[in-house]
Amino acid sequence: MGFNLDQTTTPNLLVAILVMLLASGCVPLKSKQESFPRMYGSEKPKSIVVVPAINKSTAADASDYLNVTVTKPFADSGYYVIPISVVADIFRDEGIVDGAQIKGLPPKTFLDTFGADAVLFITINSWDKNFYVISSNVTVDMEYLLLSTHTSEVLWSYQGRLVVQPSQSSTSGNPLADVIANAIAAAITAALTRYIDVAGQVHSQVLVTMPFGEYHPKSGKDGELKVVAEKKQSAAVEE
Amino acid sequence: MCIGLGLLWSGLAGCSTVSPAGYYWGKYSETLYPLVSDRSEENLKKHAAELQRIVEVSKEKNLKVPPGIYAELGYTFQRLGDQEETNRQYALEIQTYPESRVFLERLMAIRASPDKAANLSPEGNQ
Repeated sequence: MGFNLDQTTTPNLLVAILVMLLASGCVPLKSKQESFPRMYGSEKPKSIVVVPAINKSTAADASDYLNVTVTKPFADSGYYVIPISVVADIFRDEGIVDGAQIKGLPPKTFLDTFGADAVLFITINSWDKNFYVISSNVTVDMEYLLLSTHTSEVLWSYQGRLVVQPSQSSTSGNPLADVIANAIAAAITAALTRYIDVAGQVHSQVLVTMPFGEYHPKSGKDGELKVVAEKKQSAAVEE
Repeated sequence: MCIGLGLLWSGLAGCSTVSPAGYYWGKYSETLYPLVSDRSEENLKKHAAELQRIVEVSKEKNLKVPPGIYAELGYTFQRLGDQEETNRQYALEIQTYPESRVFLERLMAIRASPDKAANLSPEGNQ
């Protein structure tokens, strides 16, 4: 079947690859299948449960922004993603609020509790203070680890620094308007939109190396794509 | 499934609000975020309204409803105490995404409570 995907996927993909290349210098790139062979075999997950992000940075709310934006890009990559808001509630009611506590659980727990084939852990190592400054780039250091709940093996991982360029902010451009009382709500909304945009872009950039899941038209056809920086990959697996 | 996606894609070229996998997400993250810090009924209802809008727009555009939307909508109704609507939404999620069954059966076993943010206590559940 001739899926007409390129129009929608190519610009994002190219920008993300470009950013990776710039960030990593001339690191040789490996193919997706070479880097994550389990994602192309019998262990390929269909459903993923995402654990609320572990935040080691000084930006206290960065994890919240990552949590509310994680479902969309992973689902768009072709996976069934269990709603993180519900997952967080279930853990909270069992007295677990810290993602680090959850990381200590055996991966099989997530198969028994959620029926998920894989569990995703996200760790924020650092999160640029520029996050709160309108229209400046944001540099972050992230770790993503996807484990099989059937075998506990690492299915996919990412570790490294990313630079995100926020989309144009939707503020009025009139500084005077921003001090008027009834513009405050609009300013808050604009800030929220921007933070959500940045967090979403972090996920999207990381996902460039992730093999597509079953619900994506390119599932199983992306193994040869050379998009994984060797250095980062080995570092992530050691973890 | 493949045929479904194929049909889906044929109708999508040039539509910027639809994601690469063929989903419409509306303002999902924007209405979910306020719930993280303030799990009030007002925020819950706003998010539920957006989830419902995502379902409606997806249907208008002949798209598959994104993963988890029916489930989250059902969970919201559960927290608001509407058991009938909860069951209806969970059934829709399982029908659309059969891999959600284990998770939703667990949720269905949990007693609903309108006033508590999330009554997923062990006694309601085991």
